[in-house]
Amino acid sequence: MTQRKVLLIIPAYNEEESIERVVDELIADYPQYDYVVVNDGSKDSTATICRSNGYRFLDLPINLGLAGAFQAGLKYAYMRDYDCAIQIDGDGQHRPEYIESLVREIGDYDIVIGSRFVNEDKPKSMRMLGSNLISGIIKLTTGVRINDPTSGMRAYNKKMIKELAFGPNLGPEPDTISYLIKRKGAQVKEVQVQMADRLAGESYLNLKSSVKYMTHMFFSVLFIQFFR
Amino acid sequence: MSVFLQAILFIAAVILTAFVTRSVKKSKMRIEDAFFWVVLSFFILLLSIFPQIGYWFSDLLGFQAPINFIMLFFIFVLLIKGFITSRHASQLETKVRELSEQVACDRLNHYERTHPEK
Repeated sequence: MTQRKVLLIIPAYNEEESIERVVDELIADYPQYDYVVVNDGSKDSTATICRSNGYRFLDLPINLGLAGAFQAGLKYAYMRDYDCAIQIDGDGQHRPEYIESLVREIGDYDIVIGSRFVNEDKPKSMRMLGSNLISGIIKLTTGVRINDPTSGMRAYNKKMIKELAFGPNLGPEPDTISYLIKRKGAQVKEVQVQMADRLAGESYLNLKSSVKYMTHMFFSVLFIQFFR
Repeated sequence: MSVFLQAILFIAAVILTAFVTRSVKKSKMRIEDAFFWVVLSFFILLLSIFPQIGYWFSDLLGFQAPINFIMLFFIFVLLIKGFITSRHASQLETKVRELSEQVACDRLNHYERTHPEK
């Protein structure tokens, strides 16, 4: 098997407390993968840390949000002709020991999702109710069962990198996965991973953002998708 | 239509035109975007001077009162304008995002060219 060029895209917004640990671990233990940090217009010293440590990083001039940050990474992957791009969050939730299993599957599939629930059951919580609902509407519209649609740890192959690197409405979210399955014939595979608790910083999730997120997903998957 | 309403329409049209031309003069608005508002205020002006236009159209379309027709007409015009503005904002947001991403990529390319691998 020829060696695939793999790029780890690490979106970072105000991750000064965890970014060093995350990137240093990748550099020390996983030199076979290239990485690029995307500093999403952070207000803290994330950019300074990246610069002084000599990390390879994309410095966005303004804050774009996760979708824009990840897309910047995909543009870089596209320009440098990478075979595979994987999203690794800057907060340390995505464990690098699972990268290999994602890369192994990307030869046969277009998208490989690092899933928490392939072999393991979902815990019962509000969050997982949301996850189940999104699974449900994706199954309904595409016929494909995705157990962990909200997992951020996903690998995309070259074809998907090209699809996602340019244009709006292509953020790394379940509705984009659904769109790629339905309209671009993407083959999706899930592999079991464990996720760590975040090292530092605060989660985006609160009631308001959750409601907004779910509304967006339902609207996008159940309505807009039919017109894309 | 009462003289009072005619006067209000007339004044509104004049103020709107003044507003728009001032915005263009102060470089706060592009001429392309000013066009819509000047045309709109011209219509309002026309309607204030010749209210018969309103009567004629509302009769033609079967409205009970001309004011109903005039309100519905302007609601419709503004609805379309609102939609176009919203779409325009989306496009601008996309352009800003694409530009920022490109800037970030160019920065890294430049850095890597000027700081060759140790």
